[in-house]
Amino acid sequence: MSWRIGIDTGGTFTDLVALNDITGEEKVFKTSSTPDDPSRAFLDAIQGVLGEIGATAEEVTMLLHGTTVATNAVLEGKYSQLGLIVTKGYRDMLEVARQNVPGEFGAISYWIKPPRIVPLELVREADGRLDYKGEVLRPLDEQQIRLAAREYREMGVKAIAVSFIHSYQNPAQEERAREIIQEEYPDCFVSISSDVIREYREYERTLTTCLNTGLMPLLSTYLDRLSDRAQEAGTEAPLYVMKSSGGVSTASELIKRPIAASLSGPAAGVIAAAAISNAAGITDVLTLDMGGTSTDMALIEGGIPRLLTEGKIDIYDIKSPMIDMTTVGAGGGSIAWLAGSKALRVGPQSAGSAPGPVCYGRGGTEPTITDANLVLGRIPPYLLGGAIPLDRQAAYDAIKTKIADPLGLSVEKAAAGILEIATQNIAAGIRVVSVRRGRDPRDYTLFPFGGAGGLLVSPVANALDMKSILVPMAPGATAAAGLLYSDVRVDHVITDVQREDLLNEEQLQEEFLQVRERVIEDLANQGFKSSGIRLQAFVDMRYVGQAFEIRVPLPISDDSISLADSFKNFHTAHESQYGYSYENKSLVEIVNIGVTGFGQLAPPRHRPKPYSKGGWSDLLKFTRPLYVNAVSDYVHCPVYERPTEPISEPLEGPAVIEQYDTTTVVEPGWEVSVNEFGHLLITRKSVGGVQG
Amino acid sequence: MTNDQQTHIFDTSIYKTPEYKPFRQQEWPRSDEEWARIEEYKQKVDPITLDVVEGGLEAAVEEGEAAVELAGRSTIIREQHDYRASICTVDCNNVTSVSWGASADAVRAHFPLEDIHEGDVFLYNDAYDSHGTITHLPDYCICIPIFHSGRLIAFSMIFGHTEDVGGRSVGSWPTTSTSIFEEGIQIPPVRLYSKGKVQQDIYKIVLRNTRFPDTMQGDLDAFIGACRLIERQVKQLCDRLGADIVEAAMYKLMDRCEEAVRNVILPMFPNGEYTGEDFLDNDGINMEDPVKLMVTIRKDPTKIILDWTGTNPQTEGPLNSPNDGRFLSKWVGSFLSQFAPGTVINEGVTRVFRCELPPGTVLTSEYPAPVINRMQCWFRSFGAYGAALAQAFGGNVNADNNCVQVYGVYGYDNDGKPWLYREVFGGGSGARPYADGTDAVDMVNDAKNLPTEFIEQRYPVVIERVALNPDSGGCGKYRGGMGYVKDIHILTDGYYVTYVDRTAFSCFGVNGGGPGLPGGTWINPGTPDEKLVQFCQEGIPVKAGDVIRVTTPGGGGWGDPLERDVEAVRMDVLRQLVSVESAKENYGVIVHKRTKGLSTEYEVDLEATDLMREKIRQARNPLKLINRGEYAEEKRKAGKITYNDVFLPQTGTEAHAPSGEEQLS
Repeated sequence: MSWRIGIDTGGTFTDLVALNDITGEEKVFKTSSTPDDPSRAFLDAIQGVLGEIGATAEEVTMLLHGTTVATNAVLEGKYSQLGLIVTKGYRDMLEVARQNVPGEFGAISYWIKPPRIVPLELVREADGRLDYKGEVLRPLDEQQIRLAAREYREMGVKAIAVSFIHSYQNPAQEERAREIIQEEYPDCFVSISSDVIREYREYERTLTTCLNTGLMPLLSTYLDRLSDRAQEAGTEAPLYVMKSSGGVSTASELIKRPIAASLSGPAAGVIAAAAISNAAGITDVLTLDMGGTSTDMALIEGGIPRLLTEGKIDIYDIKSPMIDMTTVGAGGGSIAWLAGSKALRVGPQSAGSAPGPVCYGRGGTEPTITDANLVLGRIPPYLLGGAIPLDRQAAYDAIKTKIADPLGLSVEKAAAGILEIATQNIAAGIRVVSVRRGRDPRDYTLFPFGGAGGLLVSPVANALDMKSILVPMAPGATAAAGLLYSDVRVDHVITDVQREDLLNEEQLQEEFLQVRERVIEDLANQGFKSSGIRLQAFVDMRYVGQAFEIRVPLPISDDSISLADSFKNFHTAHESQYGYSYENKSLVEIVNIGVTGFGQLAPPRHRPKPYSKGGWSDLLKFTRPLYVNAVSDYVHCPVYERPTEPISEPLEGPAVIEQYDTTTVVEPGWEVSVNEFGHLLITRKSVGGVQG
Repeated sequence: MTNDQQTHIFDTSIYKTPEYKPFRQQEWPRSDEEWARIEEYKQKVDPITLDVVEGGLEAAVEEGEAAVELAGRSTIIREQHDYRASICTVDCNNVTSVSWGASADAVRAHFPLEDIHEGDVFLYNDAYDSHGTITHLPDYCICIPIFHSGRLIAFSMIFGHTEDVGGRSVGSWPTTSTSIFEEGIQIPPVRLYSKGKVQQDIYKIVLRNTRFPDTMQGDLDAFIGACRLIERQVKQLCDRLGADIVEAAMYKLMDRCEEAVRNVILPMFPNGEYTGEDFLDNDGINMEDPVKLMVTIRKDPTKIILDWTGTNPQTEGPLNSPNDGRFLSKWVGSFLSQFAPGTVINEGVTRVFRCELPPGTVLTSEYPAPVINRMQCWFRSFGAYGAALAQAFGGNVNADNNCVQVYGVYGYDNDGKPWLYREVFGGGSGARPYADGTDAVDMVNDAKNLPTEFIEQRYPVVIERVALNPDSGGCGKYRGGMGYVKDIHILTDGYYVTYVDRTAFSCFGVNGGGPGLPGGTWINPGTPDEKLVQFCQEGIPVKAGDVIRVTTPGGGGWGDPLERDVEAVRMDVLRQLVSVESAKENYGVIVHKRTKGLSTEYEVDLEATDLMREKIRQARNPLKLINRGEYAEEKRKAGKITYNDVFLPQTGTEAHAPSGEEQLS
């Protein structure tokens, strides 16, 4: 037998999904996370699941891991102390940043700039300057690099970032600087900007390089420890880690570019959503990953998650390929409050898991989304199948005093209002990844997962006029499952701005070969020789004068790329994304040329199950009062056990479907069936739409 | 209650006197039947629905702005965020948060309601025919009527600062114009689309009157696309909730903003009368004459009035702004949201917080006075207001900042085509009663600088240095933010242009804090040809190889610098933001430099520091509530300006307890 194992470490739980490569059998395992040393839960989970399935460690063929270690280090500022060497004249780059004050007009008066990743006293300058074509204006002052490296060594600064102006055009000066640093200070971690991301815009590239460097010592220690734990469990299986791009990488490759793992955890969930919905024949999907503090949303088109080449991690604009995700502060623990003259707001402040919602009885006093769900009968009065009881009265009282009384509403109306505002916030987030990218959410299926994903799906679908919802088998373990569907992925680009009318195709061909070589080399380092790999070439293009690019794929044949259709394809893509194009009216320029390489890990196939002979009535547990906003009253709502086998007979809402770690609410106006893969398929009833 | 009935708390009769300009050029009263319907549906809008509508409208505006940022082409729009989206009611009251965004008054003035149709797209930039909403010509405004259930529900607007609208100079920003005719083409409200059909004739006129037609086309299409996104979202909201509910909710949102300002924000302000003044360097033509802005805050339990009597008459040069009280109320009023976080400040603020403006001043200029540089006047209005607030709050307010500084170089390429590198720079923000000011930031939220790697790809320059200007922030218990220093090495001949302020006057310090260093430019610094450039300049010739050193102003400091935390001074010295000399002279902190291995360290001599601080304390003049710096003193001595000093008690800031508990800007 051979098993591949996916382990996703979250803030509260560590989820594991084991998949039998031969039979397709899946086993889900959950254990409490161990935040002080996440590798402990990693080991517990492996040993636990092997015990349950009765397999030995030798039968494990592959370990795949999603982690929030990098994300949390960024969010909490727990990266290593590091030094930064920049081009002469740019010492204050991180201070000046992009000069922008986030937030509303007037925010300048109260906004406090967060601490910089590298404090000014640890930044050093070196002379040496390239022009925008990458030609040397002034040679590198090697002595300054040498002295800086020695000084860092003396100070005990273990990680050094190097970022020079225009190095994306010509990395030679940065590469030389790295050599000198390694000569002077062999046991330090060093990364150069042209290696981390070879694209223009110096602040974002430098910031990304700094974060990358600051994460190196941490990730290196963490991944070493995971390898030790795996050995402790008795397995020699290779360890792959999920990256923000939705591909995985071997641990040893990731140590060079830990920034690539900054959205490791959330990315795995989106990959799972793509794999699960594709198997069910649904290729256009919007995902909704609702957890305790926030909700992440992403768009999958034609079975493939949309990708961005840059994005935001917390307050940092970084350049690293990542799945196009938006986060809103609407999770189970998000707090409802009244602003100014009694305007109801939900989030972004969260009660988190400590103290948690009022109903947890752990000292929380501010009403949360979970409290509203409990009061309205949308969740059972306990967590995890009864392990943790919830205090409905306390939730009721908090909503009454903090929200309902000041607004002159009944507690139920106030609680329903909290969910309505949360729904609106989530819907706004979905619009960011869809409407803002020129996509109409009505053409997509909503795919909820995460612990709280099933609770607000119908209201969110109503708000966006979406017609169908797919709830996976184990919404709480979706991210872990996603790890099992991933390929090794490598992305590299070179910035070379070339106008359409002054195109130097030869140069682009040469750059393509360079970048392809880097991709192939990285894949080879991860055990993939030419047979198991797949390559995609692309250019990023824009109209001259624009600052945002659109990625256009290029066909590759016999070691060369064809640019023939790329301009036409760009106009078409621009039309689709922004609603207009300037074909024959405006010049186009190429900004980046790049290659993505995949090392195929042979993802498993989903196997359909036969339809159940029984029906919903066999799964009915009891009825519970559920508040329905449309009729402003409680109704007797049937509560069902989550089916494990397909049921073709549709069940009309209202209905509540419970499983170990998730509850799904089917609102009036919607009906639910179970497809042949065991997913809940919730669809709007054909005639009219009832507001949730 | 309607807008009209609410205004009784103000003495509106003043607007009929020659001393004041009408608060608003024209009202667009709705019929009694319409009010009856709106009032009826207002009763049906429960608090949750109200929040759903507010959230929906805010999301629509955000989405519109995001679309402009993505598709816009002028750098000043895309990177520097000089554009705004808004939604207003049929009677042209803004309901979204950037309430000083454009409204549809000008469109209504030109087109009777029965002549406004679904599918129409209006365009204008006419500063003197826009009812105070668009105030210089590069700001093109697109306005789309939003129809639902067969009737007009609202308007959506986007305006943005386009690169060039003709006129006598590249970039349409002549700093010495004496009439608006020199500043570009003026387009009154016209239909760019009529019932969905594009009017190519209008496009032709607009594109023929710009030096950068491709960019203009891209910008206008981005505005239209974004307005349509907003339109679609408002319509979807109407589909879900009903048009009557959505429209009634818009009026209720203005009521709610009014309540929040009255009930939550007003009680934070002490009642009374407080006067503040501030000065602009000059109008671009009369270089020796500062331009004064003056405001008297009149606060009683029901309202705040900002009376701008005493403000300079309109100027010969283009510093003027053709505003009315309504616009300025919303502009200054935007800053109130910080006192009630989460509150959306919309047109409702003007029912409680009002500017009263005399006619013919630099803030209320008359046709055809030049207006292109009016931005500086707007930002300085916060200076005068801040100086008045400093008195109201006993010094417990932020010190001064002036951040929007525009610099540029233009020239002609080998084919004779113009190029223009123009960038909006921030500066240091004012220190706060609880924290230092911020270094190198812009006052306009989300306005970004340009990356060197972008600039050099596009323009014939090499940016040799982008840094903070040491010692530029005003000293204080909390220091002002540092301004920029940027060295631009130009590679071909061209012309240097500046649209700036605070190159002579300092950003003022508050409550004993020192003034910030003014900005300024040095061409070829440190060479025999070194040349200082101050004030607004529209075309100083520069040669290939010249280095242009731009510095921007530092923010004012807050509180007695002798009370600044010694360690904070040492850190600033270590970071080379404050010199050893300034630490000694301004802060009385004695710092010794020493070498440890390869590193340089700084150590404070605490004993010497105590002595130094005592010595300075004995010798110095009383500290001022508002410290305007040397240039202001010189101008006062020369009889060019007048202002009153308020001195703090000799014991320093501690004895001068603030009268309000809140910390205000």
